[in-house]
Amino acid sequence: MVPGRFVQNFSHRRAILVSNDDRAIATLTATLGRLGLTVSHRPTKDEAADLSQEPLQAAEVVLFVDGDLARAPVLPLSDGSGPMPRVPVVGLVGVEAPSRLRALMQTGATAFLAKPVYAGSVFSALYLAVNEHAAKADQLAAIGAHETRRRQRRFVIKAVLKLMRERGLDDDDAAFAILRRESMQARLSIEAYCQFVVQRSAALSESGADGPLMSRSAE
Amino acid sequence: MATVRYPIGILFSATGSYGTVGRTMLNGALMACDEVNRDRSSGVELVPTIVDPASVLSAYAPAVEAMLDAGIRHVVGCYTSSSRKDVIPIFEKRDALLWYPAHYEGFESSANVVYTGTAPNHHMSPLVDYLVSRFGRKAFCVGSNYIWGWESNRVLREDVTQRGGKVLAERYFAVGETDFSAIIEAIFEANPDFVFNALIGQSAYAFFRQFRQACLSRGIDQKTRFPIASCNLSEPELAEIGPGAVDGHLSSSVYFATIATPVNRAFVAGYQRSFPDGPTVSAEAEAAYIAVRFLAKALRDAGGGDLAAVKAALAGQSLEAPQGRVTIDPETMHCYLTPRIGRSRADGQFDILVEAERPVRPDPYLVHAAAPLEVVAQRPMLRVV
Repeated sequence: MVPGRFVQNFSHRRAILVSNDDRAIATLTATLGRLGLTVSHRPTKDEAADLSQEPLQAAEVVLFVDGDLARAPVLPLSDGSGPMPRVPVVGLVGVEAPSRLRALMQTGATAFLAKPVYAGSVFSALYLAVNEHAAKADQLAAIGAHETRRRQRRFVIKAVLKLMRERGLDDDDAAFAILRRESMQARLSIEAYCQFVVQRSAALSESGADGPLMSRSAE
Repeated sequence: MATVRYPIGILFSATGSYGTVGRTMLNGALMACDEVNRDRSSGVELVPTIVDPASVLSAYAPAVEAMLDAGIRHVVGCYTSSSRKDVIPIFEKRDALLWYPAHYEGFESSANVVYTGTAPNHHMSPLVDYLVSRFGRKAFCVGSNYIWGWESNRVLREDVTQRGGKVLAERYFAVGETDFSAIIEAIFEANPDFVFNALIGQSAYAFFRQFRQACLSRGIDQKTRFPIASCNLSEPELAEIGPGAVDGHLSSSVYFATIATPVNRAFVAGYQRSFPDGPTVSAEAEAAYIAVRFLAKALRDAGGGDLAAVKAALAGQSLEAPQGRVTIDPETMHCYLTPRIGRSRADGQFDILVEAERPVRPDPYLVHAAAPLEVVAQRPMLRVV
């Protein structure tokens, strides 16, 4: 797997500060501005700030969430497997108690920034939060892909048997090699291709027709 | 107008491995102090306390502590980034202001520092433009083994790679290292279009001499075949390299003594009059000079040494410096400066080859210059399925 490229320039991103701490907001607004981000502020009262319905994208937004808030904000989750916010989160740590740190972790913080916020630490926290969020998203996507392949294993077995039967092969390795070659030509994983072969065959036998093996692009 | 006396600290290593540059910075700062003090209309008298940390990193912090203990609120000083990083926490803790007059690698904007030297966008982009258009896209990088070397080479690598070029190798040496025979062999073997030098002090001078000598003994014209480009090469350092290896080196800087303007001619003449024993005037001297001039201006406008008032008075200030108009960027407390490319001559001065049309906004975090993602060498477009 090709390792992801690190994000190093955060200009043209938006920072949303979910905090009621005026000092932290003042420092972050000035410092993030220097780093090229536009900053908006989301004050909260007793109820949790709800950002779940907002169209936030990981490549555009970074959230700064204050751990001292009475209620953690509700964030939009990523589409992939695993509970992960759609956008990177920097946790602002005031009270350094385990319950507060845990709440920030559960919100999805991938970096911490201690309060009072020191301007010289903001770039590091931002760098860590954004790149760690991207790495985590990649990992979750990879795990999701592996899970899908695991579920498709039975189609590989079926496709190998089907091919051996149809072409009179007595060597399962040869059947697998054919499927592997065809899957690469179709730009699909062997599992996805085998699922396609098996399900197509089932569909054809239901409709009573027969036709050449079609390949399709993965995109 | 009543004149108010302000104690200020001047903290440059006038001795040790980068003492030559330190002395020019000291001279530039003292010259500005003298001009401010002689100008009765300035309303300010600067009383400098001078400390020489002798290029020893651990000597900087105690020197700053002692200055602040003595009631000084403003210190003009530091050349290396490591020394600056060492003392910044003290300035922040005790709320004093460091006036830092050196080119540096960026990625910093402390609220307690005013930066009058170049940010990376000032020296790197114009240099890569020039190198790629004149010599080619294959670079060999050498540098001193600390943040200046690492970060300069990283920015160069990104810029060259984005233009379809390649960094063939990056090699680092301890500050003060002077034996470059092995690396010179490696350069010949790699056969780059140019060499990028981020060595400092004695290491750089030794490298220039040894590389020129090695090229001569092979019958190679180093100046045209393997030009060396630097972002930290100034006139006093050319004198240190010595005759025989001094000419034909490229330098990216915002100031060269040969700038042909009346302001600069007066500056150079005044400097030579004040410091006839050298070292000669340099970009660092000019940056230190600018720092003290801005300091005096801000003290006068603020009507006192109070830090918040001085910073408020300083934001957006301009002055006609030897390099041209210099303006403080209120957002980053760095300066708008005018990038230039120079080529060294046998007489220890630079011919100015390229000059920006106007002062360029500082971009210490390369927010406007760099690609959003780190740049990697081109990979084949394969997809594993």
